[in-house]
Amino acid sequence: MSFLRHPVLTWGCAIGLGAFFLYACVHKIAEPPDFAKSVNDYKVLQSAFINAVAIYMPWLELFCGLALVTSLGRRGAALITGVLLVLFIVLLSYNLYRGHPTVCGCTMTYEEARNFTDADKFWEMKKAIARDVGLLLLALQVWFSGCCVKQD
Amino acid sequence: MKRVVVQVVVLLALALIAGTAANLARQGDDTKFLPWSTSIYGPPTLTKKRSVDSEPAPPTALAPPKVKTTPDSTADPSAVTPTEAPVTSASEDEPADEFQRLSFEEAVVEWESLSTFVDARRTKEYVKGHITGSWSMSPYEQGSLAEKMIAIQEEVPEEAAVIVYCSASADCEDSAIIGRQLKQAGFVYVCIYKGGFPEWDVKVTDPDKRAKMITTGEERGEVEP
Repeated sequence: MSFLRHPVLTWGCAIGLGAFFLYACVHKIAEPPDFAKSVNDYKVLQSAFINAVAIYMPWLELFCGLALVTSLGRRGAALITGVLLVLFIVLLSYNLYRGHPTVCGCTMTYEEARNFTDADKFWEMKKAIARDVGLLLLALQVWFSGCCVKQD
Repeated sequence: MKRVVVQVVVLLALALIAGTAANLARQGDDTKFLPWSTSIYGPPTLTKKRSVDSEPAPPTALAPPKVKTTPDSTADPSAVTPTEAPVTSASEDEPADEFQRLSFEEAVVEWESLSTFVDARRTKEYVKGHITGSWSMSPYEQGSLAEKMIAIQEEVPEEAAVIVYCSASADCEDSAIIGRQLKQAGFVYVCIYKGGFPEWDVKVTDPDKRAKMITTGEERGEVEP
């Protein structure tokens, strides 16, 4: 099983995970109100915290993405992204469970999802959960193989 | 492990600094600035019961009046007089919330009666096309929301019917947020046009009517009775 901690695999996982977060943060940084709408759409957060999440989370994603891609603070970034991914999976699953269609807001803007029916949204939520589980595996690989990234 | 904690703290601090700086830089842009905290979104509760075996929606408590223009008030959209309760087409599977939902036909009647319309979509969508005469008031553009609320209070009497619309969605969440703000501001008869602008855009097909009923750009447009 040592191949699971191979440095090349770790680099690949870190770059893949980092690239995803860099891609995902761009539209959120450009249009915070759209992201606030997505956060509000989850219907789990108190109103007072929605704007703060919309303001700060995209930047956290940006710096985590950069840390993963450049290997500067990679394990810390893997930890944060892992926690975020678990959070996304739990929230999306919760909304699926209670039948609340949600535009994930991860990579898709609200405008792109404007014509989605509830069925489309549920399908997108399932795809997002599957994708997040895959990304979580990448984060776990980076976290557990941190020993093979020689930074010192 | 200590190094990981330091990395996490540094990443969180960087996000905090960058997020704050970026939001401060947007303060002049009403369409993108977000206040750090707001109560506008309301509690995180679902507005629509979706389970199949849920109880039927209770009758709507609020019945907004249909408005009719007085003979010499046609040029002034604010000079409207509430007369009678409208006939609504609420069905059993519709959301059980505080707003009455209007169909396209009912919305057209209200529009022709010079009722006040409020567009709850983002400004970038509003400028692409909106119901002529409607105010732009997005819940996600909070930098200018208070100003707009004061402006509408000054121009529209509190007893006039106000119809809020957004992009059509299952629960008209944005319309409901703005509707609650309007009620808090003192407007008594607030209802939601459930089809929103997408339906209006599709159903108004006659070119002459489209020219009258749909306006593009930042101007609200004049309603011609």
